[in-house]
Amino acid sequence: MARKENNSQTEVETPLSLAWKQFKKNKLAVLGLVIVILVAISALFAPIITPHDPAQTNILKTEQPPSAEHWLGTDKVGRDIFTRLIYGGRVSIMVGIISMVISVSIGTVMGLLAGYFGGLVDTIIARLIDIFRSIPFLIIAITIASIWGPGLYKLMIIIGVLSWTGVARLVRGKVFSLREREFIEAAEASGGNDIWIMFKHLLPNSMAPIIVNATLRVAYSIISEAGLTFLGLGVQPPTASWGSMLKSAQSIHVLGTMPWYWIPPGIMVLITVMGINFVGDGLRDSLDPRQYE
Amino acid sequence: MTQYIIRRLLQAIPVVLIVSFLIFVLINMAPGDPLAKLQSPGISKEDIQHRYEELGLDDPLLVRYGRWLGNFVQGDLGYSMDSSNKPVAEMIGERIVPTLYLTVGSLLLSIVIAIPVGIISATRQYSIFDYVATIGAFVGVSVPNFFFGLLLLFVFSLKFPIFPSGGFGNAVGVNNVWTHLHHAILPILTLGLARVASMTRYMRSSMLEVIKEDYIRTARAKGLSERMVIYKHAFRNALIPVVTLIGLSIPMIFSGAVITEQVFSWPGMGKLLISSVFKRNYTVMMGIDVIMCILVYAGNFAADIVYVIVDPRIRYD
Repeated sequence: MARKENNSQTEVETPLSLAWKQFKKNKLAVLGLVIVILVAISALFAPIITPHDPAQTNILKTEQPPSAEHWLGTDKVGRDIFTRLIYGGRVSIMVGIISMVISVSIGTVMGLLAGYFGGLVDTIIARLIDIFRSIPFLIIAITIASIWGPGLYKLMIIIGVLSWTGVARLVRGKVFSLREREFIEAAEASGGNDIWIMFKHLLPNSMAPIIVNATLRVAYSIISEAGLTFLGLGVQPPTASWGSMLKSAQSIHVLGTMPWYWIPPGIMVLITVMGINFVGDGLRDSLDPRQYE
Repeated sequence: MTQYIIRRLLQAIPVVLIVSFLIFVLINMAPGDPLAKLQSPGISKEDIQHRYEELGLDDPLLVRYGRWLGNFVQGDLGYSMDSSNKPVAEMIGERIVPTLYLTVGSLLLSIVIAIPVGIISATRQYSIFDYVATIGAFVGVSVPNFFFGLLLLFVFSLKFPIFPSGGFGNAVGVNNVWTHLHHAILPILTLGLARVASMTRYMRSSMLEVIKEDYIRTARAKGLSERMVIYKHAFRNALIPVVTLIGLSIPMIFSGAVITEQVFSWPGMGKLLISSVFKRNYTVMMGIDVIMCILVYAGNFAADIVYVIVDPRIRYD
């Protein structure tokens, strides 16, 4: 990505620094980046920020309202809600990133294969994409989770494996247009094999749409994790996660009398996802102004 | 056109076959023994073995799938594995109307709100209205629908009890329509929010693109009124990509319906799916998965037909 312009010796502007310049101009994108960094820091340094243990129960202090000691009160077994809130960020960020890596890896390879080989390979992959796209994500995710059993790592794999089609379509389209270009012809003529051409020439040139899509995938995975956990098929107790905190509001008692319990995790999901979406939008504009999807 | 419709309907057959087969394989990977509850000292091993053969549970996977498929085309989805023993087709039949009420309702809501808001945003680009709509759309896309649903429940049915907190309402007679609607407003808002938001963004950018076209300049140069230019010339062309978006968002609406039904105890297919998942009621899960996929396919198909109607440039024959 950061290849320098060959003909100018002075004032070298790499594509990366150009992109950063563009990105900085977009106020919402910068705001999004700040939000994402803040959420990441609070999750990473959770043990320093809060004196409590997220799993420490205290049956003498259950369902307490917010106080100086417990900023957001305590839940029904006396755990500190604020502590669980910032530790919950770890789960969301981890699920978001790992699911994204899985789906983007599968999607990129599928897209490269379909776009580069064309013909029968492309027909099969394109059909597969069509089928995956016509299946409602959550319904199949629920079915798999119920058969395989719930759990954090399984959840990451389910979300990742079911959502590769978006990246695959983008890469496939991009490779189709790149394949006709001279530098690919040159690479072929100089004896490069298929793998080399795909990963050394086609992949780097398809990075812009992949990066944008990967960012948005993180946001989508965080919402999916929260949703599946909310339904009881995701992260299991006692692990603190935003989805499981929201799940407790399925009881009308918590919903009606303890808004400080379930509103903060909802807001955390909202601002994290919104921050990532802002960043994704900014990246789209700065990495490739012609790229629309 | 007729030819196109027939071709699309024929194309649906392999898709339904592949999808249902994949789900069948998936569900057959589930652990557990369907006859485990029969095992007791009072029943001999031979009797249980006999029952297995009777039910065809020992047959190879493909044979069992073939049998399922044979029953499926006759409208038989098997029997519920819980104590009720009801036919799955009947259970789904009871639930399909509430689910469609919810999904179609939120789709209509998003069309009714997003199209005018998108047009006004685009024609008054960078105005306060545009700014508010854009930020609102960003928030709408980012908020998890169940959190929005919980907020609506909290405010409008617990703090200010204007709307019921759950159910579909089972009134009879003249009040029927109003009762259903009264129950449906919060769930439809919940499910519709993300759709309204993403469709607004789409409509806005599509409209902005169209306004730059030459034929819009021509229309203005002819001296047509601005209203005529926007609503007669630009609007129709801007609508085309939005129809594509509607088709693409149908799977997401059905996904969202599952969570929304859970929040509002809405007696639809999604709620039935969740309850059968926790009861390991595999025949019901299988039936709902396949019917949902068919509904999604039908929705995509309908969107494609509308696409052909709104865009006369496309000829599918």
